[in-house]
Amino acid sequence: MKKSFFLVLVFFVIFLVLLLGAAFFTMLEENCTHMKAGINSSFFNWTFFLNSAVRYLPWCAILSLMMLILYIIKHKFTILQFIIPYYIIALLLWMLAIPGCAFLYDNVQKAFPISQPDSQDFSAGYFRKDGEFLTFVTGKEEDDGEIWRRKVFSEQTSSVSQESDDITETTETAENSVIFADSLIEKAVSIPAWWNFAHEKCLLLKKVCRSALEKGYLAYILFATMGFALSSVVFMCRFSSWRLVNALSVIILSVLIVIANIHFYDIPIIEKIPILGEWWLPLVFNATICVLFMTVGIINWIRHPDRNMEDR
Amino acid sequence: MNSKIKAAIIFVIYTFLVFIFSILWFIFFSDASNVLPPDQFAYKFDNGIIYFFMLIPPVLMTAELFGFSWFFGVSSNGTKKRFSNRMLGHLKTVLITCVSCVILCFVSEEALIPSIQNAVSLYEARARNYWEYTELAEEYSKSGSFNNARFYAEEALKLYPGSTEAKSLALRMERESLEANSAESISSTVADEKNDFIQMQNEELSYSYLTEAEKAFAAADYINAHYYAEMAAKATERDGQNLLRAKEISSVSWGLLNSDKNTFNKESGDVYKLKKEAYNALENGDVLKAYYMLIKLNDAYPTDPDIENYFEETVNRLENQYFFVDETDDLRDFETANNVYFSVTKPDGQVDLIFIGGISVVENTGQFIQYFRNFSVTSFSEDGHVKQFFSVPYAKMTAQLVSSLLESGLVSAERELITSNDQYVPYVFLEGVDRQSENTRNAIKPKFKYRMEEEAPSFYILDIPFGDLTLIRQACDGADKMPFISLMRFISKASQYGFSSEVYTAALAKRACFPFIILALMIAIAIMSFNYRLLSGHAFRFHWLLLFPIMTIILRFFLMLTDYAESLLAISLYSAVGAACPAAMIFLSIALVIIISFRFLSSHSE
Repeated sequence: MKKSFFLVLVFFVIFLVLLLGAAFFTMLEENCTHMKAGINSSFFNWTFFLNSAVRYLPWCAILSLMMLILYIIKHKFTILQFIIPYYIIALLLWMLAIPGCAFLYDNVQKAFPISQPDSQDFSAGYFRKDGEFLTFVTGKEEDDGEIWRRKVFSEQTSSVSQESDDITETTETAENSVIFADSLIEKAVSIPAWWNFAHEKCLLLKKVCRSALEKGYLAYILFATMGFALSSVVFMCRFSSWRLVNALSVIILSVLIVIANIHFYDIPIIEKIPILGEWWLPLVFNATICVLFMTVGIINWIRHPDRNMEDR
Repeated sequence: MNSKIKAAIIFVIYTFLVFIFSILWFIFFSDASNVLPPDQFAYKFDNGIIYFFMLIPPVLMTAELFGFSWFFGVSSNGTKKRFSNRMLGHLKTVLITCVSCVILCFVSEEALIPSIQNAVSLYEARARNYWEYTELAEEYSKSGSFNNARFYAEEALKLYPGSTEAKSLALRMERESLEANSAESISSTVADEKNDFIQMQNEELSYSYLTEAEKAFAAADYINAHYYAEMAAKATERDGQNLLRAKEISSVSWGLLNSDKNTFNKESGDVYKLKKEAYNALENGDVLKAYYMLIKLNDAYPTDPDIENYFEETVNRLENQYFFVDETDDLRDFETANNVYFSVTKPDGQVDLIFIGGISVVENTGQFIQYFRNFSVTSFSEDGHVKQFFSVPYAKMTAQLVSSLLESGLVSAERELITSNDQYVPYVFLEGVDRQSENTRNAIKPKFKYRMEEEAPSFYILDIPFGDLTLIRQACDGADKMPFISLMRFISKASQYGFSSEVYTAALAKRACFPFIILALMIAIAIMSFNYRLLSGHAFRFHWLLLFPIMTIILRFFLMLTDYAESLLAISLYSAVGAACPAAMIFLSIALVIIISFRFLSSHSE
């Protein structure tokens, strides 16, 4: 009993650490997207910090649940000692906390709005690459504040074509600097391609979740079956006799379940394989996963009740 | 011991498999359409090796994770309490292993990857040049200057000898230029001002020399007749009518010059006049005229001490104003940098934007002589209006001491300079002249646009310390590729040359703390392998090996994310602590290593 309570405590510690870390680094990310070369910006920005903390609250909670399994793998718990508190946390999280977060998020967004990075205003005195041109801001028009941003040199070094347009003024901006205010900063922070992709997919899940909530609680439960599938991974924590293999399997299985669930809502994929778009498919898939993992876990527990326990 | 060797063998085989995989992947699945076909295999191979080196940290971490997990499993008795002696011993093992792995990672990151990347960018540059040459050849042939077209077609063929496209292009250009030449000889030369900087082709040159020789011979000017005939013979490469005629004129005029001493003496009055004229020209500052007069006189009277002295003086002065166009022949293939750009703010607030299409460094001069291709300078006034623009196809740069420039009067004493007297500055010659004759088609001159203030100057002084030019050249390749030492010297100057100091300082900070971050991660992985160690009494199953590649992929993704987080932190730290950002990052990462080491020591079994 004591151990079960302790597990709940551990969950909150993991959750707090994850949330603070996520909020801190998202704050840095927001800092960088708003930053312009040569213009000082602040390091700590409470608006960004609070906003990101609320934005990542549900994600951190889901991730903490997964990390809790890793904790369980490391430590001595009998199956009953961890299954009950784990499922209580998971149920509360998926049934109450996540819908609650959605409303919290809306209110915080209103209270601490984040301005979009302004990618039209450039700081003077720096070279920036714009397609095959280099641009350089030389000054501002005094009357209307319009910026003189000039295409100064062609990247194409052909001596023939260079004569035509050496110094042309340009007002259009590069398309790729949508997120970042300054393309110089954008190039300096090397965003991994997979991170952008994962981010996009997570936004998709968030959107699905929000629209399900709007449709009603039943529609949300259909979406939340993903949560049950994810929680059932806990049954796999005594799968192998090597705990490292267990830890890796838990991580890989969780990622696979999320990827599979994304496929049910991703429109371009649904257009190719229409059956994925059926409303009942997430339910069937996630329920199958649940039952499968539970069976495997229970059989494992019957066959090796003491598996992975040190010094027994 | 036996099992240790077994584990080592497994990891060596695994590393080798990763190596083979990355190379095969790049050979079969990568796109190499941006290099020439003969380079494609080597290009893919090199890219595969680069990718392998990039995979070294996750591969080492995978090996570490599985290896330690097994190692701690067999040797972790007596770790019941936190901070046990046993764990201290383990930490020693972990640190020794991790530090040697970190050194390996650092070497591959800072030395091996850049050196292969150099080779890769060489292939890319060659392909770029090839495509540009063929394009230029087409363009010149369309605009009717077939000699230039042929020159570029041949250069393209040199870069890619097997190319059927270049071969047919070169053949076509040769045919067209021959046809054009024969047409030209009938209807005299049509000046092609647009492309006057390109080396005139030998045959054409020879023909014009021969015409000059004929003229001089007809005017009984045997000195010039002999001189031009010799030049014509030198310039031509083929045996033909031209060569025969040139040799004839040369020998006849030489015979006339030597046999008849009287003619010689009779003409010495003329020689005196010529000498005087040349001398006057030199005194009046028309160095070019003096040079071309004296070069002829010097050829005809090599023993005349006056001419020799004047000539020496003229060459000295000429070299202070001009460079010889033939110095720039074939420089293109030896360029050390492309697309170099920077800005210089003058004391009066004027901003000069400088662009250099390619830099060729002359070997054995300690980089003191460099040639700039497509050198252009745009000047803006303080309030942002364009003041002047000029560009020149080739310019010669020499490093000069500021005080000597001031002494020799090349830079007027009133001019404000940022650099101090004892510094070397890049001094750029903008005008190139022909070495042998007053050939305006051949000369290089800057083209000016927009409002011009005074007379167009024939030089441009880059008011920056000479050493900075090398830094800027490296900075233009990006902060990640810049050598570490150069990056350290550059960050304080970045913003004054139009580069973002945030970006370069953050790059330095990231690279400086890279070993510590990897070390911290590796110790963290050691903690993970202790926590999830293989408990004693369990045998190692072979199919667990299948998890190796998955772990490597996970770790690779994780390292990419760490890299991103580091960038964010470094750039944000710059706005908080400024130039102390690298020091702060190193401090933070060392603190991280210490904290994680303590966490490792505090690990215990239950």
